[in-house]
Amino acid sequence: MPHVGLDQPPARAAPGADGGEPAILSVEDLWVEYQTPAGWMQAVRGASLEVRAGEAVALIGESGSGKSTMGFALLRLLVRTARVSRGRVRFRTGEGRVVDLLGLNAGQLRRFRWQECAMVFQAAQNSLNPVQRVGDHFKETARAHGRKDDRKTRERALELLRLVQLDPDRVYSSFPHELSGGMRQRVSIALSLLLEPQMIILDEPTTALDILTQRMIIDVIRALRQRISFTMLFISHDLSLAAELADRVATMYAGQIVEIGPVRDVFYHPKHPYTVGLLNAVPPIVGDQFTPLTAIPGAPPNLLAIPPGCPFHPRCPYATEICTREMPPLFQVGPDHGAACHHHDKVDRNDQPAWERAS
Amino acid sequence: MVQTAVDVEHVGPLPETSPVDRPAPRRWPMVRFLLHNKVGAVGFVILFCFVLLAIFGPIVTSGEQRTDVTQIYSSPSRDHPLGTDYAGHDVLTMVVRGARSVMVVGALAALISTVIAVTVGALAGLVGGWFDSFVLTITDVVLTVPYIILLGVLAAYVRLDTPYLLALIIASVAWPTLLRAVRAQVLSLKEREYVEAARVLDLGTANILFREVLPNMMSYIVINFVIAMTNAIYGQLILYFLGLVPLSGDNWGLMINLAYTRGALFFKDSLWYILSPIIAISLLQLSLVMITRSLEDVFNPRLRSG
Amino acid sequence: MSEALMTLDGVRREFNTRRGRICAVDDLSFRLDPGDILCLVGESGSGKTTVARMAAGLLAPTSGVVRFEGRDLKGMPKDEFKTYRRAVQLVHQDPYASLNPVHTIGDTLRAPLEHHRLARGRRAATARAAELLDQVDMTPPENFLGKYPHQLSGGQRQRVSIARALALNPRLIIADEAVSMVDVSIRVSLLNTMLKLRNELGVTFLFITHDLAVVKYFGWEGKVGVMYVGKLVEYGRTPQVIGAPLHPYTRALSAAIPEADPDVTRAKQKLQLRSIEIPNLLQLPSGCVFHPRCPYAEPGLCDVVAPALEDVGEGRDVACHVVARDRRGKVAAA
Repeated sequence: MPHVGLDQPPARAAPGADGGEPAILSVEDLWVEYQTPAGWMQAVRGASLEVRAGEAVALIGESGSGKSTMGFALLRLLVRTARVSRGRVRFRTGEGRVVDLLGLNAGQLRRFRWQECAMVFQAAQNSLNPVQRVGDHFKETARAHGRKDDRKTRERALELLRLVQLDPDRVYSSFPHELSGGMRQRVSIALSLLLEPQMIILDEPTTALDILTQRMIIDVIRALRQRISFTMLFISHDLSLAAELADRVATMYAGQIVEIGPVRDVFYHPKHPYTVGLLNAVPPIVGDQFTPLTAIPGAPPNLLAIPPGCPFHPRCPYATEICTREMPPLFQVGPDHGAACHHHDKVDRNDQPAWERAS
Repeated sequence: MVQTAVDVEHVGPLPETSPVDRPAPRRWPMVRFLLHNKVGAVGFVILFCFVLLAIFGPIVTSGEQRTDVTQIYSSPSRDHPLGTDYAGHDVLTMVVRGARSVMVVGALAALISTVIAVTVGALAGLVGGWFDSFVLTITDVVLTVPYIILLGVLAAYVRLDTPYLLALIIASVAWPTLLRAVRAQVLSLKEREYVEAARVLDLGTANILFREVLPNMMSYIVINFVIAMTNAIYGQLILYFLGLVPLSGDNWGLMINLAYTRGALFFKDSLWYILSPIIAISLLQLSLVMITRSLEDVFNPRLRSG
Repeated sequence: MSEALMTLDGVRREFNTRRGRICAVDDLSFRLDPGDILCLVGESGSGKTTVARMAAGLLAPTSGVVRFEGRDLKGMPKDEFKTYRRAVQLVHQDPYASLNPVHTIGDTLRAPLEHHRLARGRRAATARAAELLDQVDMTPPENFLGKYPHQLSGGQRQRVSIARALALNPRLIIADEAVSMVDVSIRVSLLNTMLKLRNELGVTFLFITHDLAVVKYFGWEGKVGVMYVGKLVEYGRTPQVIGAPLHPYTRALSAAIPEADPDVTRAKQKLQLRSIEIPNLLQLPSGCVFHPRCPYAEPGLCDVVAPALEDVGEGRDVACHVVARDRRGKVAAA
C-alpha cells in the first residue's frame, strides 16, 4: 500500500512505510545552526524525519547530537542565536490541512502551538510558574487560546490529572513547589494534552528522575496513549526509554539521523555502527550474568570542526577510505528501516571483535 | 504535604563540548575586551585623560597663583577659560591641579578598604566559626553607624594633613560593606566542588584562599575596587564640603567648598567657578562607572572565545 | 583478621533544616578492605551522598564511628589525620564544577604534588602530572597539560578529576556519581579506567550511584549496599543482589528499570508498590520505613518494629522481617 506522505516522499531516501498512515509531521533536510563566538555551529545537519499518525517516535542521541535542537526547531522555540538555515517542516493539522511550520507568522504559530502540537520539557527545567497554582496554569493556557469557559477547562483539567494518576482536586489547587518532581512532570504532561493536540513532543521526559519515578512516568505515558491516541515524538539519550515506548526509533549523531526504523529492527538488527555502539554500552539489568560492555572509542566530534565524510568515521570499527570522503545517505536496509552507513551490510551487533579491535 | 525528599537529584548527561584546539583564554585579554565594549572603551579614554591630568597637571601649571583682586569671579575669557575664583585665581588651573589629589586619595582609600575587606572577609567566609562571627559583629557595628557622622567625627579628631591620612579615614568607614559582599561571595564559592576537592586534597586554608577562591573572584574584586573608588571620591567631597579637612591644596572638593562659602553663588559671572569642579568630579565618576561595564565583560568567561 | 581500610560503625547523621531536624543516614555500618569495591546504590534522599562525605571526612557523623585503619577519625591526632587525608580521595559528580576554571590541567595536578612535596620542583611535578594523565588513559599527556577545563569534554574532565585523586597515592577513592553526568558511550571507558586502577594499583573503591547498570558493570566483583531513606536495606555480593534481589525495595528497583531490549522490557514484571510517595523525612513512617509502600508489609509487624539488617545466609544481609523469616524457614526446612 503506498505510503501517504505529505505530498511526495522527500528526496532523501526515507524508507517507505508498509502502513497507510498519513504522516502528521514531515521534516525534510533540516539544518539548524547556532551562532557562537567561533562562528556558526551546525547543530542539525540535514535531518529528515516523518512521524505518522498515532505512532511514537523516539529520537535518541547523546549530547551534541542535535536532538533537542531539532525538537525545539519543530515548534520554533529556538533561542535567538539559533536559526533554521535550510529545510522544510510540514504538519498536517487536525482539519487535514498541511501547513509549513517554518513559514507561519506569529499569530498562526500561536494557534499552532499547543492546539496542534504541544511540548513537555525536561523534568529539571522548571517549566511551571512557581507563583501560579496548577489550576491557573490550565486556565491561562486555555484562555490564551480562546477557550474562555473556565468551568469546562477545569473539568477537562481534572480529567487529565486523573489520567496521569494524580489526585485531581488536590493537585489542581496546589502550587508547583508543593509537588514532587515526578508529579510536576505529570502535570506538564496533562497540561500538554489540554487542547487535544495532534502531537506531543517530549524532551527528555525521564531524565533527572529517580528510577521509580521514571517507571511511573513511563507507565503513565503508556496508559495515556492507550486511552487517548495521540502522536508522540520523544527525545532522549536513554535507549531503554525507546525500547519501552517507541514504535519507531531514530538515532542521531552529530546533527544527522544515522539510523531510523521500527523499534525491534533497530534494537535487534541495528545497521549503523553508532547504534551498535550505544546498544553495547548498556547492559541488561535482569539476570545474574555479567555482560561485558564495550566503549565507543574516541569522543563526539567538535561541531565546529566536523570531519569530512561520515561524522562517525574516526570512531568506527568499520570505517574505510570512502567513509572519510563521502557522507553516506540513508540506505534502505529493511522495510521502513534506514541506516546512513556505507558498510551497513557488514554491521553486526554481535561482532564484538570488531569493537575490541577498535578500542 | 511537605516534600523534604526531592526525587530530582541527579542530572543526566551534560553536553559534551569536544576537545579540539580551541584557543586558551589569554591571560590578559584586556586590550581586546576593553575596546570591545563601547561604553567601557569611552570610559577608559576619559579615565586615561584624567590620569594624564593627575600626573602632568600640577607640573604643567606649576607655581603659585597670583592673587589678583581685580579679577575676582570673572567670567570665562581668553586668559581664564573657566573664569576666576574669589581671589582671582584661574579656575582652569585649579581644576587641572585638583585631579591629582582627588584621584590619589580615591585610589588609595579604595585600595586600603579593598585589601582589608578582601583578606578579612574572604578568610571569615572560608574559615567560619567564631572568627567569622567575630568579624561579622564588628562589621555590623561599624555599618550601623551613619557613614557621614562617623567620617565627620573621625576627621574632627585627626588632623588631616596629608592625603594619605584622608585616604585612611575614608577607607576606615568604607570597608564594612565591601567585606560583607566579599564574604558572601566566598561563602557561595566555598561550596563549589573544586574548592571541596582542594579541601579533600588537604591543600591548606591559605593556599585554598589564594589559589582557588580569590582567583575566581577577581572580577568581583576589581569591580568593587572601582566602585569603592567612586565612593571614596564622594567621601572626599563630603569631608571638604563640611569643612572637616584643612583648607589647603587643590582638591576639587575644596574648590566646591570655597565656592560655596565665599559666596560665588551670588555672582552670576562665576557660574563656571562653581560648575567646573562639579563637572570634573561627575566626569571622573562617570568614567569609572563606565569602565566597570568593560570589566564585567572581561571577566565573564562565557563571553570569551574558546 | 587483617585490618579493614575503613569501617563505618552505626553511623548516623542528622541535619537541621528550616522545617526541623532530619536524619539523613541512620545506623549504617559497613567495612572496606583493601582492594574492595563497594557500591552504594539508592535514589535521591537515600543518604548515599551523605555517607560518601562522611567517609571522605567532610562531615562528621552525629553518632557512630568512622574508622580509618582501625582508628576513629574524630579526635585523630594531626599527623594521623594527614595520612588519612592523603589516603582517601573523592571524585565528584559534576565534571564541569570539579575543576577550577582558572587553572590549567597542569596547574590543577601540580598543586597537590607540590604542596605535599611529592615532587620536587616544577619540572618533576609536571612529569608526575603527565604520568597521572597516562594512568587515566589521557594520552598523549602533553596535549592536555596546558589546556583549561573548558577546553576539555566532560569525560576528559572526569579523567582529570580521577588523576588528581590519584596524585596523593590514595588507598581509597570515593566516586560520588562519578559517571552520571557523562554520556553513556563514554561512561564505559571511564569505568574501565577505574577498574584498571583498582586492578593495577590496588586502589579500593567506594562507588556511589543511582544506576544499577553501573553497579552491575563496575561492581561485579565486589559488594553492593542498597540504601533507602538513610538505611541500608540490603547488602551482599553484587551478582547476588542484582541477580536475585531479596529486599522488596531492591526488587522494585530492579524491576522498574527499563531495559534496552524492547521485548524484554515490555514484558518485564513490575513489582507494584503500594504508594509512589517518598516518605517525608520530617515524619518517617513507624517501624520499617518502607512499609507504606511495601507489597509484603504485614500490619502489626512491619509498621511497629524496624527490621535490623541481618544475615540471611550466603553472605547476604537484608533488613526485612518477611524476607528474614522466609529465609530462616528455608534453612530450617533444609
